[in-house]
Amino acid sequence: MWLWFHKLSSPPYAYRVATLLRPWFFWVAMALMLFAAYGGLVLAPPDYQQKDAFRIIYVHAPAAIMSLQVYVVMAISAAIGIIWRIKLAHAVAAACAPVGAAFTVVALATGSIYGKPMWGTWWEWDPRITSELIQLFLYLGYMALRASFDDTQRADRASAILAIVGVVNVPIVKYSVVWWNSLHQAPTISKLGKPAIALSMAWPLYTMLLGFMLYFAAVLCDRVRSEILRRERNAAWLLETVKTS
Amino acid sequence: MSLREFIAMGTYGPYIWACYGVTIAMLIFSAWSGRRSLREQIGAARRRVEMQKEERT
Repeated sequence: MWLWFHKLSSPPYAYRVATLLRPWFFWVAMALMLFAAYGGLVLAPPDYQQKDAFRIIYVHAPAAIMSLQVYVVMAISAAIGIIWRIKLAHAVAAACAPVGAAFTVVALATGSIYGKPMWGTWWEWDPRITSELIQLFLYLGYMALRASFDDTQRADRASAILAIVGVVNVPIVKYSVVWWNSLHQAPTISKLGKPAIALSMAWPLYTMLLGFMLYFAAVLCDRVRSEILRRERNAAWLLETVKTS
Repeated sequence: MSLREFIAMGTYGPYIWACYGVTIAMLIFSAWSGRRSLREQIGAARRRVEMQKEERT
């Protein structure tokens, strides 16, 4: 296992693995997302309170969960990069940010559209919504900070610190609905053992989340490859790689 | 359920379809921008390799 990790941390090997895995991640993700959308929009019964509007949850909640999960992946990669000085880990962290930002935008936008018919407002300075907005600013700040350095190594280190410090916002977003009085509803699916949602409504949600995860993995493969190429200056394998791909 | 009923989603059709639209647009954009960045870097790497070849000859 450790040996495999060690092997994976070598850029040429990681580049090959990413190339190989990408189509699998992508097409399985597509199939899962279509299947989940069908389940959520057609098969699931209307909610007894929210009627058909609750169907928004099938894109809103998985996107919001991803906005936090991607950040955790990014912060862990950045920490590994700083502690063990693995360049590939920094490349992974850098590759995470734009995808995480995209999921955060989706979570905020769909949440806003969801809020209009349910709460009667597009926007409220509510703990959950405000902390999720900060999440978006963390991603954007991370990307802006990276872009402000010409030297990749310095960009790696400075942005890694921001990524690691910023991880405090993840539990704040997650527990905001529990800690403070929030307009936002309390968690429905993460209550282990006793979910507050019927199976016919729940499975498309989990399927969509899995689809989003694999989609993220697929885009990450492309972005990590791109980062590896950008960092690799004079390696001999670069010659072989760009010839064939 | 007729197609019209499905699209109307009670009275929530516009909200629901707007959300799914935003999500699909963002998924497409994100995947496309990842691909584009990869293509750019492959192009840049090719040019670097070419330049090194020329320097050697």
